[in-house]
Amino acid sequence: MIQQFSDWLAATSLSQLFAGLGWFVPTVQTIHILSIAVVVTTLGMLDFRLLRLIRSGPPLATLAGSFIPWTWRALVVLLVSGILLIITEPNRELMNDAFRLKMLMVAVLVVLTFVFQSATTREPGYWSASPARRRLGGALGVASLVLCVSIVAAGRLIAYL
Amino acid sequence: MAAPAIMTWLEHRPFAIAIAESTWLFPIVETLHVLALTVVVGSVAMMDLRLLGLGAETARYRR
Repeated sequence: MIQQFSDWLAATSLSQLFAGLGWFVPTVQTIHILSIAVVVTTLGMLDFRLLRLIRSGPPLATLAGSFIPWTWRALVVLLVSGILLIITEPNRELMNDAFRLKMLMVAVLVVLTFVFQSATTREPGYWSASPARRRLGGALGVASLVLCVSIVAAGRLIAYL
Repeated sequence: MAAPAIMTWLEHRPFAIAIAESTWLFPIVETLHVLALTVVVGSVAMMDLRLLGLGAETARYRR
């Protein structure tokens, strides 16, 4: 079914138009990776704070309030640029196991980031309120970091599978 | 056109041959390269935006 959708998409005039423009894929890929930089650095800095590998700086809730909106903005750019890349080369992405794994991991990361944001907004001291909360925050930080690294790795692997 | 001698020399170093012949070494090195790149771009952008007065007001810097 995905194969049929992919073939249909590849045959659309939009896909053919994008595929015919030599500069299109490299340009969109550049925008895509710059947005990944925003997501990885904003989430990474918060994750290091959750893990207490960085203890200095403003309160975690203040940092989160400044950084997370940028994470969401960058994710919107990633979604749009990613869809453009899929339209241009549907079979390269949709039929690729690394791509499918990547989408799964992106979905989990979005949920974790949303959970982190909601808890932090509701209660600024949420992640340091008790030893159990600190452990929970640490686990969230590890999961978020591992997902960020794995998503970048899976993105690169699309070209090799 | 023949490649300059230094490039040919570099290409025949054991580590270069190992990366070229391995299935996974190149993508692994490339992934590390991209990850490090995101950290550099992201952190420099934060610093630059802050200096431009457009960044997060989370920290003070000395004038």
